Amino acid sequence: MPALILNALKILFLLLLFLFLWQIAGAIRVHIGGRGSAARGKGPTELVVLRGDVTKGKRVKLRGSGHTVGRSPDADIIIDDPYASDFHARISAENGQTRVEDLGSTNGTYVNGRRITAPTGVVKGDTVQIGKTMLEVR
Amino acid sequence: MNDPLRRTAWTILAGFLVLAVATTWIQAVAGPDYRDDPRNPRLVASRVGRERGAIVSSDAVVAARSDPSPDTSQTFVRSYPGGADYAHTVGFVSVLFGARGLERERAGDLVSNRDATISGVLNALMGGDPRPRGLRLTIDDTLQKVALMALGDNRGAVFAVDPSTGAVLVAASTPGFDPNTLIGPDSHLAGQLLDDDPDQPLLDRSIATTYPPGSTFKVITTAAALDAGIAGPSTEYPDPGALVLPGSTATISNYDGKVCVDGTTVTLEEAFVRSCNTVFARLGMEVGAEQLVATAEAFGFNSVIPYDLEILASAIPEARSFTDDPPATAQNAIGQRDVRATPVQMALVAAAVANGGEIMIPYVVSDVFLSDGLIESSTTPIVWRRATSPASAAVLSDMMERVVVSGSGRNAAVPGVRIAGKTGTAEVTGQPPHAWFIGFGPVDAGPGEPQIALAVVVESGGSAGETATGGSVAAPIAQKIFAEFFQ
Amino acid sequence: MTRNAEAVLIAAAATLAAIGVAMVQFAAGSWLDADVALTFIVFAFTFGVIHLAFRAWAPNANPLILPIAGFLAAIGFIEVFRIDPNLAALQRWWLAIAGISAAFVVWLLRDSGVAVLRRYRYLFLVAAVGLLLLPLLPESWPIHGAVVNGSRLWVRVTVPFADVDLSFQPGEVAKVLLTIFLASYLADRSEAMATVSRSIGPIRLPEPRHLGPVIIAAGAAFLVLMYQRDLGASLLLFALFIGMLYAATGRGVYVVSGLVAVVVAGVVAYQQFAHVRVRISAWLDPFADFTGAGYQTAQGLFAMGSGSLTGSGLGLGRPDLIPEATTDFVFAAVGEELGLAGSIAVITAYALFVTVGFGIALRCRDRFRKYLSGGLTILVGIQAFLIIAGVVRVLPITGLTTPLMSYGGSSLLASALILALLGRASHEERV
Repeated sequence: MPALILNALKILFLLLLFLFLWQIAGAIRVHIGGRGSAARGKGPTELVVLRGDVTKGKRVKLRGSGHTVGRSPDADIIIDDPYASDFHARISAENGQTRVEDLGSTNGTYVNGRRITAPTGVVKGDTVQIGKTMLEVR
Repeated sequence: MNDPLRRTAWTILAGFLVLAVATTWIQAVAGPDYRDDPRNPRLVASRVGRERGAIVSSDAVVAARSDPSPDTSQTFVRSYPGGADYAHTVGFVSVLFGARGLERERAGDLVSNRDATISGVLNALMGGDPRPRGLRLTIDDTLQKVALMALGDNRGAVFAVDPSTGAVLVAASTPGFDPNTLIGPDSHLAGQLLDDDPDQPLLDRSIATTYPPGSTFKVITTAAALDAGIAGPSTEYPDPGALVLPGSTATISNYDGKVCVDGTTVTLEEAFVRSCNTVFARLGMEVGAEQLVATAEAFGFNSVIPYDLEILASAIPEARSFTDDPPATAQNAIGQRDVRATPVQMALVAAAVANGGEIMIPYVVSDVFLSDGLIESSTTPIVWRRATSPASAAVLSDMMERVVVSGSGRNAAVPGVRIAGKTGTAEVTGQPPHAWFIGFGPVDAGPGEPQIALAVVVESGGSAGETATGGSVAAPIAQKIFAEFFQ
Repeated sequence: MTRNAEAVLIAAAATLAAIGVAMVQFAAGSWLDADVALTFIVFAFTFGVIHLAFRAWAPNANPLILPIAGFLAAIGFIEVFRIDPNLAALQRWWLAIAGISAAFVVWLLRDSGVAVLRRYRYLFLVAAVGLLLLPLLPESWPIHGAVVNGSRLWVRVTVPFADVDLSFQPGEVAKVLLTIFLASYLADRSEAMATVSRSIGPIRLPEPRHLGPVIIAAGAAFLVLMYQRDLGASLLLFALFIGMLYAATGRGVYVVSGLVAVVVAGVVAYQQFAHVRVRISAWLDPFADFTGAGYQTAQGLFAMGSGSLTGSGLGLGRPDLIPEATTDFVFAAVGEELGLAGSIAVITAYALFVTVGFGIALRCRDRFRKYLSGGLTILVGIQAFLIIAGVVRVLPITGLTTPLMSYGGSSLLASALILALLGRASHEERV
């Protein structure tokens, strides 16, 4: 019966459409991170300022899309530190892992006291030093 | 500084959520209402592209046909080769303006059932024939064209039947329209023009509108008197130029305000031939409301005439509403005041006289045929009702023949043929009168001899305007049709 | 997510387009023909070319924008094909040209990056206004304006010595150029514009001189569009200005004053222009003037209502009965043949596009790239919103093309520009 076949094809096509969109949505979650890592409570969830001057707040909730840290008013976390560069470092959560990345700063970024040369994974309790500012991921 | 950007993003996403809700409402909640709305063109459109059976006239002229579409496979294009000739009867199927005429009423025969719907498939499995059927009309293409030509630019209608069968020979209404313009591109504009036209070209004046029948109604008044035995053709009546109606100051006068013959007395037959209003007003009051209404209803008034298309009922008020009102009775008796008739009704009045007092059910589809030309079914003529006694019909027939021979209907005469008829000039306040002619021929047709009964109406006198009479405007149109029929 | 995954998803979108075309043909009872293969090839080519350009000159570009765009283009194309196969054949050319154009833009910006656009902002402003003015050129000129559906939005080029007219809608591209200008201007001034310089009662206003050029640009664009009777584009540009100003400054005063301006302009337009009144009344009750002003809206509603939950099936509805079903009302056509499921899929796809677009903007450190990618996303998002809102009667009909889905070369070209710029901007931020 052609009517049945046409109906079945129609439903199949609609399922294909949503399968496609599901793939894209899944990829967005992974790509942007979304709530992925933070919400699951596995990795670090916030950044606490141990030492130094940050424009607003002593605690910053880690976001999937990441934060840039620096002196520039355009940075996500603006630190008032003469030893920091405009865009000094980026802290991002990707695939459930939190990473710190130096953005070519003059004075370097230190994780647990060691200067990093490549994006470095951090876990709860690690410290991140930018200029004279000290942060801890929790 | 990302927060405003983030808020903008959420605002737009919220907008999409609103759209999703609105879409869900339209498609899931209100969906069935929109789907089943009679204005939803899909209901008609489901039929537009499908193959439909042909419609042909009795003399095999194609009025409607379906051809495979040159653009889209498996769809068909409907065309009406006759243009306006059959527009009102055959109708059309338009996406924008719906379906009308036989295209609508006989869709069950005309539409192919060869489609992918479950019911279509089931029908095929059950052995049903999915092919579309064609329709053969009783209308004679030549006569139809003559009638339309004779009506010309006037607003009016002609309806003609074979009195012995009820087969419709002419169903003409002017102005007409070309149904092809309503199905092609720009049908939107064409339809708007037709809708806005004050002459209402879409209206089928032969069956869907009523006019005061004027003096043609005297046939019914006479039949009432004959049936009740109140008068005969030779009964004498006074012959005043004007009649003061009892209990009022109103008068009824003859057409020209003069006496009918010599002002003394006149026979009923003579009064009929000369269409004397004063005599028939008096006769009407003698007959009385009861008998007048009963006879009119016997002829089909106040009933829906069974037909392939919907016919507007002709009307006469209930008897008790004017039993005690002789002036009203007098005016109704001459086809004025509250009496209204369709052309098809008045054609059946003439047909009843021609057919010994019996009215046949009119029909316009004679055969339903399969795509290979084989006839599937044919219409059998059926008597609808007896309008008057055979004796009264015979008397009326004689009187009507004299109208054409020597009376107001002389313009309808065809040499060598016995034509009978009655003219009517229906007064309408504020506009020129409607010109009527009803008649038939030949009188006393032998068995198997072709016969035709017809009604002609020209709205508001046509081009003749105020000077129009049934005899001067409508009778010549009837004459052309008779002449063609008896050629 | 990698470029390889992007390639797979693009192939999937091209396959969807081909399956859709095949289903339309199957429903019509005809045998599948070259159209199916051609559709796959053209989609694979169009988005494949941009994909390859990304691989070569923007390897870190966001890998999701192309697949989502491909998906929307596929659904739109299926309906265009279903309604008019001849138009679809032309659309295939437009798609291919759009793909090549996007790849060309990516190549053009390979060394300089999108930053180069920032320097030429006034060039873009002049170009945009010039493009908007093109349709006003008199009929007698070889390049002249043309009125289509009561709006003077088209430009026709009469090719000399050939009986051929080329038509395009310059407004489509002008919108993208204006976005570039705005992004560039705001990148330089947003801080100043966010700073309060004076207060009138509770209303705190920024320094007027920072706002001047923006207001002049916006005003000029609106005047032109109002003159051309393009309600949709006026509203779209206005929303774009407001959205970008707010995104850049975070000052609610722009939004509030923008809304006030829209309401005032709306009231004035309602009183001054008969065509605006007609549109509003057709929106409030499309069935009041069913055969006139409300016709298109009513036909859209009939189509979507008839589509119900899962639609009539591709090729089995009557979307050809909807006026402008291949452009403004393509959403209603999808709603009829793919049902509520299809409509929601389209809305979801636009939402995903907007999510990805803003995701790019949010990650940008450079102001210009941030505002550019944000602005382009706002442009696509608002345009999709406005036109779909018109179809489903959330707003009056504005008369815009449906981004990526509509038939039309100008619209696709603008979309291609946006894809290229978003790709480059996202690439540069991840280097």
